[in-house]
Amino acid sequence: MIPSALLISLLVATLSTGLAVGFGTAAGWLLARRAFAGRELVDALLSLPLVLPPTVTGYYLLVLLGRRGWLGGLAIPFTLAACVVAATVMAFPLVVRAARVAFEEIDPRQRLASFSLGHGAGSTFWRVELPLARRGLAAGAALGFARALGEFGATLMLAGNIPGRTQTLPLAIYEAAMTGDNSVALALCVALTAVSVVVLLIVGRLGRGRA
Amino acid sequence: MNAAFIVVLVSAAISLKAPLTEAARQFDASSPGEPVTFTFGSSGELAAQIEQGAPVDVFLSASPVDMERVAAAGRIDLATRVAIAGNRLVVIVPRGTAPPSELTGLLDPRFRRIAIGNVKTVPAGRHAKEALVASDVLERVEKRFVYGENVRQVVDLVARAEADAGFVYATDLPLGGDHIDLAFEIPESLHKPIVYEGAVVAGAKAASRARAFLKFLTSAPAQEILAQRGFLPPGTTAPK
Repeated sequence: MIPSALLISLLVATLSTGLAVGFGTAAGWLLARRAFAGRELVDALLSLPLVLPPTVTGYYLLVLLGRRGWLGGLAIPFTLAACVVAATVMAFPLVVRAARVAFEEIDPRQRLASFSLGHGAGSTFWRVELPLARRGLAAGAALGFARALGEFGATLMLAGNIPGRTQTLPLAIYEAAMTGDNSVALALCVALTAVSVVVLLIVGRLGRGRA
Repeated sequence: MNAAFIVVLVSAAISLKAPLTEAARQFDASSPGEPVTFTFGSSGELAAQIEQGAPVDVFLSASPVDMERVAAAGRIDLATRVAIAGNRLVVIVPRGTAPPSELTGLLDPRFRRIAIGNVKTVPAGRHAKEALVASDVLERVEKRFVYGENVRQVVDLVARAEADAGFVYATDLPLGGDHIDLAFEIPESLHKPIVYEGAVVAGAKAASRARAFLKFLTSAPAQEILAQRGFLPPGTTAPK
């Protein structure tokens, strides 16, 4: 139970961080660079999972993705994919915020210089903006990873608590504590704490240096 | 502390929610004293909280197993331990699903997901597992299990058609409204008897009121409320 929960957690956190970074970077760039009607509303909506109780987010996801939901055909609930979806949604706002700030902090003259040297928007993004924003993006990714690793409420709602399939570390900890397996609960907590410390160290290291 | 803030806090198996709420209303109306309030959950979850020192006055468990666990931890007043009700285990399906008529019927591949209470903390899940073992089908259906953290969640999973069948108590049927159908009752011979037990928790702040409430639950008026909701009197489920 311990190794499988740890593996599931690491797999889920890695996949969901990848998804959150991909979509979150794009969303963060749009929010930073494009002034469109309702920009701040979109930002607020994307940030909702940060402030809503995770069980509320999980419930929305279950209603949306459940068999009778709008996207019921995807058959996501109670699978590993459900863990990934829940963790991605929870990690997403952290990544978007970090990305938006990172892109906004880039001196506009550097983009102008790139354009004047003949680079288009795409080339400027890949060769100028992304490298300049990389520390902020990496810090966002690390925070997103930590959030995904610790995800509990939404995962419990959407993915259930199936040992060996959807039981992540936090769910295994909950179950061990509820069944009086205190030594198992403690061991799992130590494992989760250790991983979290490593993530925080990485964040600290990224935050200190200059881009 | 101001006496007005003292309540009798009862940790109760969530399947007892409806009759207990009604019984407490009657108890509070008929005898003056600290009001009875509840915290509901799976018996295993509540037992763990009490073991860890949760400041509750009464534990009402859906199973002797979880009561035994807190007793072994020295957390209940053993003299107060009493059986208060019995129940039956049933299989439910979402309305519109052709129901199976016995446990082996669940082997049919159309029952892709079967909801069951977490066997570690939910007594109804434990009894369901016992019955599946006794019928020799557990290994073939176990891979299709999705777990509920309490028996109400199992009802909900079936009512939403997230699961194609589920194991709940006969008394949970009204919770599903018109979204679920009863498939069949599981023969009692297939699992350990379902016995709800109560006890006053050691060191209860409102101990005398807690004892009075527990006594009330075994009295005729409270047993009538339980019977109306489909619970069986204690002791009718013969030990195996």
